[in-house]
Amino acid sequence: MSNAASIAIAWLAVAGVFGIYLVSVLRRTKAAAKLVPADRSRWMTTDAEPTKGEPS
Amino acid sequence: MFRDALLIAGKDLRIEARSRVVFSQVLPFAILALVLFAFALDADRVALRDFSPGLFWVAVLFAGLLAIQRTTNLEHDDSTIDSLRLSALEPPSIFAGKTMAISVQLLALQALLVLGVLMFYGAAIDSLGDAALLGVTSVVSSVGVAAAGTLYGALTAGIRGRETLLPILLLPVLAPVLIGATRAFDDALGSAAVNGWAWLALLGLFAVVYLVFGLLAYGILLEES
Amino acid sequence: MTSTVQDATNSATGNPGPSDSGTRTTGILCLLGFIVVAALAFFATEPDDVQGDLVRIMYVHVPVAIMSYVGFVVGAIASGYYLRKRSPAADLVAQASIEIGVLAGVLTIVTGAVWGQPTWGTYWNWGDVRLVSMLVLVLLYVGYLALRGVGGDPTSQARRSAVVAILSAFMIPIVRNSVDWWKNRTLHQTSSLTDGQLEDLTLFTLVLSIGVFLLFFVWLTTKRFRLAWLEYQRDELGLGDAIAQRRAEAERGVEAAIANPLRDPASKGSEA
Repeated sequence: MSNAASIAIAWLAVAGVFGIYLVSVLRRTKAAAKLVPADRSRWMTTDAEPTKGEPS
Repeated sequence: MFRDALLIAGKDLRIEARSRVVFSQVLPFAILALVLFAFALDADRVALRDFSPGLFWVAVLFAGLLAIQRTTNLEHDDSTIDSLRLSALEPPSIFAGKTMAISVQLLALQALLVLGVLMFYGAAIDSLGDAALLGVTSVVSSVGVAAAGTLYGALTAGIRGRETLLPILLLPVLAPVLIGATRAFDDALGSAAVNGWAWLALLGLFAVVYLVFGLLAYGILLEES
Repeated sequence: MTSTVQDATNSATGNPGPSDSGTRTTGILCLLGFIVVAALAFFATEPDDVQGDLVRIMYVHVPVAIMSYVGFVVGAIASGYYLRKRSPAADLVAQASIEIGVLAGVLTIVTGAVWGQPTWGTYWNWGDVRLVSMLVLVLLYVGYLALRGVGGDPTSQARRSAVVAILSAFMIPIVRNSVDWWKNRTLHQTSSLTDGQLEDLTLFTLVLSIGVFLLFFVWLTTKRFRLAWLEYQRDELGLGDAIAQRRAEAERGVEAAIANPLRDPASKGSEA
């Protein structure tokens, strides 16, 4: 294996693995977000008193 | 606490003695492993003798896994762990007791396996010092393996797929023990020129770490359930 | 208050997007950083005296290795916090950062092996302490992820996982030292960062790359945490609530629901 190929494989492996992982995380996030009401979907806002600031 | 621990250890060992599973299944499994290693290495006398420390410890770890799995399942299958807690036993005592019980089983296993490698692989103990190193290594490693095993056994107790989960969690943890104990045995059995006693430091450190963690964390793992 | 604003925007769009301004800025910074690092690594820096062009692998190999250890340590800290405060969010942070740590660990091994082939003439070298111990650690943390994958009661799972994460972090020095003593020699580059052999630009690129990868770790962990949080909320709400929620959404297409009321829950079931 030539040096150029080694370098390419190393960089592409890093980019590819993180890229695929990121895409899968974002897709699963989208799918999960549909099942969770907006007022509970964020950690920061869910932990604050649950009734406050809720438009009803 | 120590009395309670002895009580638990006694109970577990009595159960083992009566059911004879360790004798009828775990020990034969370990011997079987020694036989399979011989096939795998093409029964090469030199190779088998040189590698007998490593093969010995791999056999101990795999057979030990069976013993650990049994001793933890003992409590969690019938929820006897709850009865133990109800009888006012502290989690650290339960942990210490189970660690003792597994250590004793591991030592019995090793005693048999040492005979196995001496007989099948042509390993030899040359001096009293070597025998002492062998013995001390066995005891210290057993305590370390038993402590880690008891802790990880409780971790995986009662969950789906624990038979496969325990090995994948425990074996990487035991890798340092395999390294240290193999090196110490290398010295004792004369298959490599290393200072075996130095490796006991690693084994001792491992045992201490897991004893301390076990005493601290066992209670967390037994919460509610 | 910001939380009110957040809620308002979320309910206005109906569907909270996967991003907000803070993480978006971080994400853009990461992207720019990667471009700069790649440009420096491939065009600006000189080949190494000894390794030649292969030194360019180092610009990703070293950062992912560091990222992996950071992921493991952050996971242990978050787990410790979980055991103290029993905050579900801390448990999910641990999960996110360890998952990313494992990924980075695998990449460390892959990039190391790819570098080793032309350098040592072999992909794997048991004498290399750092690679061997990284392999053991990755296997150790794969066990953690397996434990997280079995399901069951969420609280007891979080508790078990937290204990394993902390124990595993204590294994890091034990594994590294035992592997080191095992071989008692290393073919690895003795820490290139500190021995002062690197040229200025090479060193700058490496340090910048480490910084960018750490920022990327923060960003990716945030994203992963957000997913874990949504999934946690989803499971908390329970299937019944989730179906009710979907029904409310589906009320926009009322006629379909009236025409065939059985179709709705059935389609939900297959999606869950």
